[in-house]
Amino acid sequence: MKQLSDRTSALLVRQIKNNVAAIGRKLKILEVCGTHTVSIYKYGLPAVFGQEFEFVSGPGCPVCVTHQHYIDQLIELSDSHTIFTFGDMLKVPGSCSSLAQARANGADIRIMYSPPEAVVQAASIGNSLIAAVGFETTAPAFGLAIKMASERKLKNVFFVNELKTMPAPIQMLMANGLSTDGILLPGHVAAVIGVNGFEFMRNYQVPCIIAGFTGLDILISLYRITQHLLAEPQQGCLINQYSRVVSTTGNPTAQALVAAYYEPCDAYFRGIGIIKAAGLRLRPQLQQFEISCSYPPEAPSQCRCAQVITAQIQPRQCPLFANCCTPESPQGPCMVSSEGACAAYYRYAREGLDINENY
Amino acid sequence: MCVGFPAEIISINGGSAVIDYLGVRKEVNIMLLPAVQVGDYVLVHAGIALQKISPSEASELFELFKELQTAAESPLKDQAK
Amino acid sequence: MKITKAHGNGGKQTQELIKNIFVQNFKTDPLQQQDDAATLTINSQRIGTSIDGFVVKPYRFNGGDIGKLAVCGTVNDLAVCGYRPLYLNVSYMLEEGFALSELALLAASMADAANLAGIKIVAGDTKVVEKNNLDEIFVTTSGIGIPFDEHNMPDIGKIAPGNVVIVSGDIGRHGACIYSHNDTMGFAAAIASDCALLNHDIELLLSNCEVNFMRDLTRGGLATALNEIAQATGRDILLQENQIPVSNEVQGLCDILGLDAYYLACEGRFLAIAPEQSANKALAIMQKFNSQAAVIGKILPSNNRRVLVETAFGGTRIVDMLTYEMLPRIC
Repeated sequence: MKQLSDRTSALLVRQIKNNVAAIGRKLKILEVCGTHTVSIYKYGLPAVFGQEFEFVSGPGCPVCVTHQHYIDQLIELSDSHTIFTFGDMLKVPGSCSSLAQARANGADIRIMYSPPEAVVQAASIGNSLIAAVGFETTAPAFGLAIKMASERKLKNVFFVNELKTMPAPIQMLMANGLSTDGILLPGHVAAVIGVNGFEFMRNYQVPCIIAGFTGLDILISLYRITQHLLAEPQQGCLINQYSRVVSTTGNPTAQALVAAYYEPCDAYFRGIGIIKAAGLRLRPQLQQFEISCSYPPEAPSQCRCAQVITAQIQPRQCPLFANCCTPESPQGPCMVSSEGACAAYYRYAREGLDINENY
Repeated sequence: MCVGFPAEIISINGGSAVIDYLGVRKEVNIMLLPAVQVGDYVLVHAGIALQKISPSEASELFELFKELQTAAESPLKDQAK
Repeated sequence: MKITKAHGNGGKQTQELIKNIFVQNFKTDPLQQQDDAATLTINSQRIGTSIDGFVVKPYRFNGGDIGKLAVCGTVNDLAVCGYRPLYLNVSYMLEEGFALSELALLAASMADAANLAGIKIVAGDTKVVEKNNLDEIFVTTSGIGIPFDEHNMPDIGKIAPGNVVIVSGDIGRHGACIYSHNDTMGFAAAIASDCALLNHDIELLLSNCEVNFMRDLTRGGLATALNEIAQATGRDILLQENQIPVSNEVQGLCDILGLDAYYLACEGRFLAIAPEQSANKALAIMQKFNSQAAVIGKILPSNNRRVLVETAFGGTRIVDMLTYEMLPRIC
């Protein structure tokens, strides 16, 4: 199996290069999922396909699109609550501090791995807050957590919700006239919402591939995009490369759970603003579990994360990138999250990847 | 946006199961996959089994390999100058 | 600014802390070298000395405990710098309420490790701290040693382009072990730590072949050690991803928690950097101790202080210093 996938990978790289040569121009590939961003850099694909592809990112890293004020609010509430959060959020800068710094100052901030497990732990301590961030993939985990909290009638466990959904921001990108030659759609979101959840992508004249996350998955997806562009350059398509995990209908149990506890709402995307129907909030009968967050307008900044996550520029085109904005002192959210486009670019490719082996 | 991994169900105890991934065993929540059985492969994210994984990967990969090999052996039309 | 856990992970913030606070104030030469052990000369005898603090939680883990770990840590630091460890000092910091029987077991484990290493524990100190002001038990050890071979000392200055980088076994076991002990994450069994003494292996290696430099892989793991070497020598280092030994279970834990094995701590692995002509011999000796030992890369002539890795698809990426505590992530 390993040998087969190695040989297939080698053939794929070659065939993709041939296909792009036949298409005759450099292709712009959009991915909308932070885990795809990281995979692409981690496998060194920008170096492999320097002539063939320009990789750009969309707004699919939940940490990157979270408003500063969300962090501020968690820090404020950490005076009176134990905070349960995914490790990803710990060093995201709010307007003047981060959860990591709050923890250094004595706040009880705990890293959660699974939201239902966090509810179990939280039930036995004082007032607790669970920071609920993520897209459709993670929403069912919070659905299970809220179900548990409401069935046990817990009075000391609260959720600060920032759950988001993927279709609306993608539709916004497309409506704003994004030019791209192919889109990698987030495979784990599709595992929950199914191919059906991305059917709307057929309205656009772009090849769209629901893609997995291994290097081979991404190579196959890129290959399918180039095959499609050669065969039917004027047509869009929706291909499911990740069919071992993604079915037509997704996971109906998970969808029903999320629909039972959450309803759609407008959501704030950092650097972009409000996107209609792009968020999830608890249904009215569960509002005793929710601490809501209000978002003042963001302070003006030279940070160009908004353009990075709307596929308009590459990280290196931002004036702050690698100057005052680094992973140690991130100015914008894309540098914070390890899967943020800027952080991935900084970590894996910032200084150029030329190798001189001549002695 | 979502770290996930494919794991085999080793044992089931009500709404939770022990899974094996590369020799690491861990308890996960399987309440969103009511029909899952021991021996099934599932996608796990944030401690929750989200989807059953179909085992057809090897044969699909072989099909692709054959397709690519054929393409590599036949001269490319577009490159003929 | 306050101390955060990032200041203790061996990455960028730790380096800055050492540079800006400690070296700045102490200004002694050996400290500025920032080697695993310092070299001193007393009455024309060359002596190596090293110190290491241990705060591991849980203090007993699969494959070892804080007593064994505290001996291995200091012994290995001395050995990779070319010193035969001779004497060890130990300091115990205990939380009020810690069980005496546990302490006796840890001391016995420490004694076993010291016997195996051939090092004598000669001075000690004990402090007890009020309940809740310290997490159970912290141990610090300091050791001294004399050169295995005064004329064949590893030296970072000997590293030259074309040198080969060899790792002594699969990486990341200790870090993965500690993560897998975290009972809130529901792991059914803990991965075994690689906690082990390296001084006998290293002595044999040094007496049989030419090695330019060694470093043990502790906190911050492979990536941190290589970045320190790249910075100190100014050279680029190129690794081959598919040659770097990572066990299935360590990779499995990394995939589950969104971690990177290159940054996971080891407590019984070291890097040897050898001239090309002696690399095969060095590898053969290292493989006798651990069949996973492997050539993973080489020193390049270019001077950009980067650690690069060539991926399975022929792509390249940078392996950076750790900039923050590595945390389990779901995104």
